[in-house]
Amino acid sequence: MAESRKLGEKKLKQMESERDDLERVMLESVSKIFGTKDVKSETGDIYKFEKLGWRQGKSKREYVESASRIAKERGIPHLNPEIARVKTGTRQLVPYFVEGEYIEGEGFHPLNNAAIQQAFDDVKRTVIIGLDQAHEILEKRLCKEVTPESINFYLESVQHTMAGGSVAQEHLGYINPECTRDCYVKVFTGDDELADHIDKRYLIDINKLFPADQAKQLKEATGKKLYEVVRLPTMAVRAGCGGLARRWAALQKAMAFINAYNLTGQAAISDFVYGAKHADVVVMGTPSAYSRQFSDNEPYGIPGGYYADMVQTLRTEPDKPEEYIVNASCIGLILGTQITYGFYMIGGIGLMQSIGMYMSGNVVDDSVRYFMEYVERHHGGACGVRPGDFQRIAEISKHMNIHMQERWEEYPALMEAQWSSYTRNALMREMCGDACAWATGNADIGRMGDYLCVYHQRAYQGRSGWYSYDSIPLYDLASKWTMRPEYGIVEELLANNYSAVSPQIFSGAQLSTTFSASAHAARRDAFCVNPLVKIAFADPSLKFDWAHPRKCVAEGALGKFMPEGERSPIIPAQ
Amino acid sequence: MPKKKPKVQFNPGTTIVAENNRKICDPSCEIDKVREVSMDDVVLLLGHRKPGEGIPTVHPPLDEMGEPPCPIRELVEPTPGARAGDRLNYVQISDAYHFSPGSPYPRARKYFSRYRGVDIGVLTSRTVIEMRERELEQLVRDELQSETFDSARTTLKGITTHGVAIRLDQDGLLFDALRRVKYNKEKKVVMYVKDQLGVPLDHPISIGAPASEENLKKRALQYHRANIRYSEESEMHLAIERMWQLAQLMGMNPDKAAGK
Amino acid sequence: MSEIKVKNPKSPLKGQVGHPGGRDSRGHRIQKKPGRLAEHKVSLYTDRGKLIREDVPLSLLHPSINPAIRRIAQTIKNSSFVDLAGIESILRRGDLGGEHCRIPGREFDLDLVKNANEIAAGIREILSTGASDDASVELFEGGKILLVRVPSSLSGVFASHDGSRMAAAMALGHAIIEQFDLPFWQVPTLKAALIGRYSSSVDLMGGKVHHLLKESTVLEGPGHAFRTIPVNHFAAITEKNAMNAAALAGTTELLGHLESGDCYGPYELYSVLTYVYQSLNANNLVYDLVKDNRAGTVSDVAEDVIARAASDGAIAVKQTLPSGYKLFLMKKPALWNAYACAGTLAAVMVNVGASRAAQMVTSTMAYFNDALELRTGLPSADALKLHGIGVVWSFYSHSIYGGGGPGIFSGDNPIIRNSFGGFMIPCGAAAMALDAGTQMFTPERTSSIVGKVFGKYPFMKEPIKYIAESVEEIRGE
Repeated sequence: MAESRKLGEKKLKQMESERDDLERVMLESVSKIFGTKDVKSETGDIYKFEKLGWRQGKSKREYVESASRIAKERGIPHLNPEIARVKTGTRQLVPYFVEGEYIEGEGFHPLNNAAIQQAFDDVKRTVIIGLDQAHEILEKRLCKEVTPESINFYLESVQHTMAGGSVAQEHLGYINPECTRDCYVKVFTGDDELADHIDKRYLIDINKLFPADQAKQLKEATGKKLYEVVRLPTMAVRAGCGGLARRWAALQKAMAFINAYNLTGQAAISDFVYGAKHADVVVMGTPSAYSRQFSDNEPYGIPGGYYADMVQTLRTEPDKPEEYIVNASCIGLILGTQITYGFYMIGGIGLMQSIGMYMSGNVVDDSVRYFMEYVERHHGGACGVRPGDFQRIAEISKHMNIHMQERWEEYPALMEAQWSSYTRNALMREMCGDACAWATGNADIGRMGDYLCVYHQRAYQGRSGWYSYDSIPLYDLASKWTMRPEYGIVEELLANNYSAVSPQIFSGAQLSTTFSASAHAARRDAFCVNPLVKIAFADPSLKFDWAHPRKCVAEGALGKFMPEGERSPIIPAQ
Repeated sequence: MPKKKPKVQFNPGTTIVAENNRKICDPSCEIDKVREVSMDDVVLLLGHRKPGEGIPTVHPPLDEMGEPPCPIRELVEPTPGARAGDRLNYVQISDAYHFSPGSPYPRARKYFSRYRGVDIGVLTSRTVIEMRERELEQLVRDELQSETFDSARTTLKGITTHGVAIRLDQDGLLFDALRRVKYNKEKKVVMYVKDQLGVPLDHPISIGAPASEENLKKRALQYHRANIRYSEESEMHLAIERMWQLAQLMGMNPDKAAGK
Repeated sequence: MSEIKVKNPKSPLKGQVGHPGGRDSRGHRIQKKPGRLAEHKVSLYTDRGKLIREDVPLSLLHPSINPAIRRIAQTIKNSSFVDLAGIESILRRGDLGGEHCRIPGREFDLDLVKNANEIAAGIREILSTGASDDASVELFEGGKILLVRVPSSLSGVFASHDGSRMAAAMALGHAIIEQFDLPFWQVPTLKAALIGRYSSSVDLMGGKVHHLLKESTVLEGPGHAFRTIPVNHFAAITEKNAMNAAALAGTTELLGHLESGDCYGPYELYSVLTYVYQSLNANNLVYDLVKDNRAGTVSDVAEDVIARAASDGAIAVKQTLPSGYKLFLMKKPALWNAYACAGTLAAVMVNVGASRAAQMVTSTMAYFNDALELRTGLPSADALKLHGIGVVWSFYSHSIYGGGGPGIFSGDNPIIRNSFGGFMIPCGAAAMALDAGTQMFTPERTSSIVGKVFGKYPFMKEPIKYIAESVEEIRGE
């Protein structure tokens, strides 16, 4: 068990003050949304917008106008709310208050939000490949000298080949560079001496990007090996799928080696390719089981610990673990649940309302600070509770549960702003689990705290969160500590492919992301599972802000985020 | 095999919420009848057929069809609806978060304690009940007449059931996107103007006056900050947390849970 | 059905590895160490509550030892069934590669069913190896269906169950080529009729050589094969006898969980004890529960289970709380689990029996166990798992999000597979056996061939009786 890590009285006071502000803003936003000062009343003029119906929504008005035009152009009907038997907008269409902005629900669908798309694309198009094996082949099998100069020349060559330039054949075409403008290769290493010799344009500099204590941990974990981070073109993984990432990367690397080291299509080349595709490659996600059939680098096989490592907030704001957990929650939500379940599995409208609602009203921000304070004052602070102390863990989970539930009950208008019980119950589960993970420094215990939350919720509310909401907490509880193959897994390694979470993806990578983040933030670890992933996503050239993902998602919801992978270079001018 | 029947118990807890839950699960306890609803009105509200029409069948009557030799079939008597081959049909009951006298989980427990041949799904905004149609109609009639159904805060909603966590309207009615019910201010009763599927009725059906909130709080089946707080129900906490702990131990090694 | 005449006829069951007589291929006695299982004894009853054997040690009911269970395992593993009439039809129309596919120009006529005897003789010839001569091919419905069983000499060296299907398919292919002297250009077409689109697809999609177990290329995880049998098959094979359907389902689930790595060490007693109580009607518990509560509700069954478990020493009162509520403890967790799982099956039989509607199985599982939890303060069946699975199975059999009726599910289904011993599939099998015709995908529609073919084996049609009786073959060894 990690030693107890207290935040200190100063930090607690700061968070308490922040919480006061957050709650004030939360209630003000609700008051503004519903046009009432009385946010405690359980009745309201809830049908006042009934006559407007769907026309209440600005996006809906615009969409209906566009759809009408499109229907005429193509000769086939399109989106048309008038055809629905159940009309939208009998009551007020509630906007979501996220990052200080009031945002309509539409903004949170992946197809309406370029930032969510870019986050997902960044994951699919990233492959990390070790270079040491390739260098070993060069030196041992081909008796070539590998020097910093040759490495730099290789790195220059690989920018050319990876983006679709030829090196060995004389009569080949190129890919339009505007289509591959976001395709590049960078490197990082735990070897400071080697790093000094790498051309800075290609280097993800651990010492510069990370605080000293985190840099030290990362370099120790990485060792003196040299790693490449390959970013495929966004357009490639959109036209294809994540499964093409390591294959594209491996072949184009081989071509770059041929160019840089004066090689040809010889037997040793197959060793380069083998190393890059199989032996020394880190993909973001593993392939899924037959019943789902997704390739690698697709969302089913990405563990929550990897998502937690992708989030960079603890790097940019090391004294704000609360912000890290909030942002990890956002990434877990949009990639772990929305993309995997709302997009891949159910499609259509998906989960856009729930996603917006989940992030709204400062509830996550307030709850994270609350539990940190509570655990510090009553249970010894971060890592202050032994993982085997069932009583304390149960106490923490129950306390968070009652605290959050009673706040919604105190303010019925707040409950209405987060009217979906899926959202409220899921939020409670996440916060209960995060609190337990924080208190113990153990992500597995986070999951146990989450499951206990559900049992209390059932007893408290007399109702479920959604149909079969309580199923996984019931049947997966006994699995956690069991020596049986397909039941129970280390929380940081839990991906949506884990068999138990299959029917309710929310319980999968989304929760394991935040439990991992909470546990490892409590322990002051620089990474949760894979230091290479942590470093790879510290890359400042990425457009999606992995340190502040929720802010980025809010921008995307408002149409203010410019993504990569636009097809405008290759289509007629509009 | 000798069998000792201990005194029957249903759930832990010392508060009135726990007591109310015990009452509705205990088949030996009478559920109060608070209103009268005719079977014809029930049929109209369900919307599956018209009063007087026969119930469609999905298979021939059992006596006509014959059944394969099976010891369980020989032991367990089919319900009248099963015997006749009735189709299976459904009702969905929606309970407001704000002090409805019914709640989905307690409802499920109630019906599994008091009815044979019942299939129930529990969500937040609805409890869906499926049975052979004639048995379903009887259950719905019992429910509409019972104390666990409030005319304002409980609604039959066959579709579009969301909204139990929304504030009540200005007449104190549960939100309904399809506006199936209306409050008649003169008679001070709640009227169904549409059936559970939102199809307009030929004539409104009264379901009686709503109970006062004070009355509803006494009959609560769920906890609430403004009534009986969950933090007061320590027996329930103990039972739940103990079960949670024991299940984990069983998962690691069943023997570790022995005697605890 | 007719049995073909073969050289040196021998029972297909004798002489193969793992013969129920308790000896391996080198003649060594198969022994199971007595261990904990032997300390536990149960009495075995028929599906109608008549005593068969008293005081049977659990060790004799372990799948690796019990002769009838071994027969079930070997029969399933080594048998494929061929839709010969279906192959004839596919070839006549050119319907190759799965549903909706038809390839013009590939049609040709072969009188396969008329020549079924000769084809069967050819298969037998091809599959017979020198070491053993127990390959069998049986004909059903005048040759429209063949049941092909590979010889023990082959099955004993196969790494998996796939071998029996592939060997049967290829032997059939060669036999047809030989019998009809097919030209080379018709071979791909014939092959597509046998094994479908494989190897373009990872499974034998569109082929007419079938197996009860799914191909290993489409398994959800290692060792899952025995868990891939759909619920409807159990109802069909046992001719809709609910007790036997549950027994057969429980048997294959236990086999599958053994193979998946689930039933070892401290879980061995837990799994086997629960299996015998739930699936084999040990101590007549399931039958008694149904009989005593046949006019009652799910709640009544829960009460009865708690009373019996307390009376029989599985649980006891730990403390009485201020409200008078008695909190229980588990004196014997494995036994409590056995009672809870047996009770779940009984509750399903009572509730589904009342409605004769299989769809009720899922919520019955959930709320029966909910009642156990609330009324004892203990984890319910399978450490809360049957409650959770009941809930999610209910969701996916009652909504737009996937799944289907209970009959099309199998134990490896990603939605419901999370029981430690597959204790939910017997409930599903019993429910589909009791259904009067309320489902779309009935055993008659999905499993009629399977029922005809495998139902001819008495130990598969009436496993409760045969598993109990087969104990005599090994008792005292």
